[in-house]
Amino acid sequence: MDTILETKNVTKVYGEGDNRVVAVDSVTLALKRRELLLIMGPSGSGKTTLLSIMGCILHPSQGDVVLDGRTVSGLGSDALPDIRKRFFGFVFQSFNLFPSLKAAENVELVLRLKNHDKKRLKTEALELLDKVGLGKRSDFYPSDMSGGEKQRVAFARALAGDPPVILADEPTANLDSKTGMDVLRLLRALAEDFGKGIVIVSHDPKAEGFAHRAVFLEDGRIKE
Amino acid sequence: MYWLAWKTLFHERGRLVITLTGIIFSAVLTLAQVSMYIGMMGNATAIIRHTDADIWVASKNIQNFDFTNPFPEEWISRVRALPEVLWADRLIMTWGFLKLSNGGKEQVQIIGFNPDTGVGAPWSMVAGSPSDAKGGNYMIADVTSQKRLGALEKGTVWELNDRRFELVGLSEGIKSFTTAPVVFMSYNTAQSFQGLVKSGQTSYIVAKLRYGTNREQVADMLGKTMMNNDVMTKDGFIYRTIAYWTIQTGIGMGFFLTAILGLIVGGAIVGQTVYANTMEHLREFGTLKALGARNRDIYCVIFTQVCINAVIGFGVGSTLIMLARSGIEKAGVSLYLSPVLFGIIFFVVLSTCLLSAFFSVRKVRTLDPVTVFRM
Ligand SMILES: Nc1ncnc2c1ncn2[C@@H]1O[C@H](COP(=O)(O)OP(=O)(O)OP(=O)(O)O)[C@@H](O)[C@H]1O
Ligand SMILES: [Mg+2]
Repeated sequence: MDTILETKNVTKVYGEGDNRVVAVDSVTLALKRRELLLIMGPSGSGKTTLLSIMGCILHPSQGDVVLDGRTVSGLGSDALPDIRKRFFGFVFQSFNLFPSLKAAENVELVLRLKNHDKKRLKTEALELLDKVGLGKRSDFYPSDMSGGEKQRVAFARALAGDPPVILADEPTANLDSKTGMDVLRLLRALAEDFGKGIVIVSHDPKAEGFAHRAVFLEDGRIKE
Repeated sequence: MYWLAWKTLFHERGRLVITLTGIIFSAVLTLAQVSMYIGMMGNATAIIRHTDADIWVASKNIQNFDFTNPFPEEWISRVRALPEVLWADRLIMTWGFLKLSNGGKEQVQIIGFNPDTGVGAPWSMVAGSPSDAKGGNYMIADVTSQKRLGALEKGTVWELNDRRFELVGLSEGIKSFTTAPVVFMSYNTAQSFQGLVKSGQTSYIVAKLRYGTNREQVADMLGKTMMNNDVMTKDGFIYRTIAYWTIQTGIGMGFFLTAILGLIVGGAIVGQTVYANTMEHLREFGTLKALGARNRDIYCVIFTQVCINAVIGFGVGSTLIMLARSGIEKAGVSLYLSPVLFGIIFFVVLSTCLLSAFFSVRKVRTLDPVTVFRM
């Protein structure tokens, strides 16, 4: 199994003086392809911050992020959007779908963003929805779907453009227990069947059973 | 991203309607004000613009075409003496009272022109010809005056300042700034008429210069020799007349302010709805940024929507103006509406709309994708 994403001694400091917070403290972590990695930890321990750094959304104060063998943390902010486009799919706690777009269109939007062949957008979007088991809901607006369905659309969107890494922050927090399990099962399948490297941040104790590996964060540090 | 712009724009009908209302309001108000203003200024300068003369000699300190004092007509010899002058002619502008069939009287503006040369003659004739006014008590009126004067028919006889005139011709679309009906007659008749202009006097001397002559230089030169007159180029007189009505009387300012107010109110409505829309979609825009969209992708969405709104709103506004046009003109108001004017005002309305998206753009620019994890 080869490594797709690594953080090397990554530190993130917010604020200065009395307001100084070390949100992430010298974290070294590697994610392999086909791996579902779970990050756990109490509130305020730096999980979201770490995930944002891994996803090239946030610059670390110190340390390096290595993506597919390339150090990207030194690159300017200008280069990051394209890197995110190529390497990452994101899933959020509150889904963040466009309410005025149907399920398929929400996926299509990201395909368009990634400059996919215009003629195949519809087919591709439907294929992606099929992958997450939502082929029959492609014409539904987010407001007409359940939380679990919305989160599946979000996964289909994250898969659009076939990025090697998917990062998900609390993907089950707004779902009931059973739906949460379904989503976790799906994530595991995405890792194993589609070869994605997946990082999820979760408080959910059920998540541990689905992950290949779990790390525990406390005060910004990894606790073994 | 044009695709996203279309999709989301038409999904939110309520907001679309409010935005369009704002733009329609702006477009209608601006178009109406500007076309009315240009229409009025067009009327105020109609005779100057349609007389084929390069130089206008008028009474001293003249302010506009309608306020003139008579001066000796023999001064025309000074104009003709210049080698640059091809021809010079005289033109009378005076006022009279026309008796109406219902017994009432209506004040009219009288233009005395040369029916032999056609200098100062009415244009756009719909019945008769300017030369018919020659050699007697003949007059030409304008069909747009019918609302004030009653039915105008060629061959009918009218009483003007207690003298009987036969109506020998009709023009269409010649109006004065004061909205008084315009009546044309021959120069000699106008002079023999007991009005402001006495025998031996004229209101204007107009001159045509030889091809290639510098008008300003000739006007300057004449002005130095004709100390009791104002000598202007055609453009100079048009400009002076417009400046008088626009600036000195404040009429132009009124139109201008109303038009600006329309743009500001419309712009504020558009800015407000576009901003509310942006705020509502901030989470999604942040998500797009996280997924690799650049600011310009999102600006593209905002500006495309603004442009679509502007095109639709301006289209509807223009249609409304065109529909109301004949009604407005029947009420005696001249509207100047040309494709160029529509083009310019569309550009102004569009710029206002784009400008009003400024706060939305700023919001998007400072939107940090990190925050979507915390929304
Ligand atoms: N923009 C910021 N400025 C200052 N401090 C911040 C900022 N963002 C996060 N922090 C601080 O950094 C620490 C880690 O925050 P983070 O959101 O990464 O925690 P978390 O583990 O995701 O928490 P939760 O489980 O509640 O989501 C917290 O103490 C938080 O207050
Ligand atoms: Mg968090």
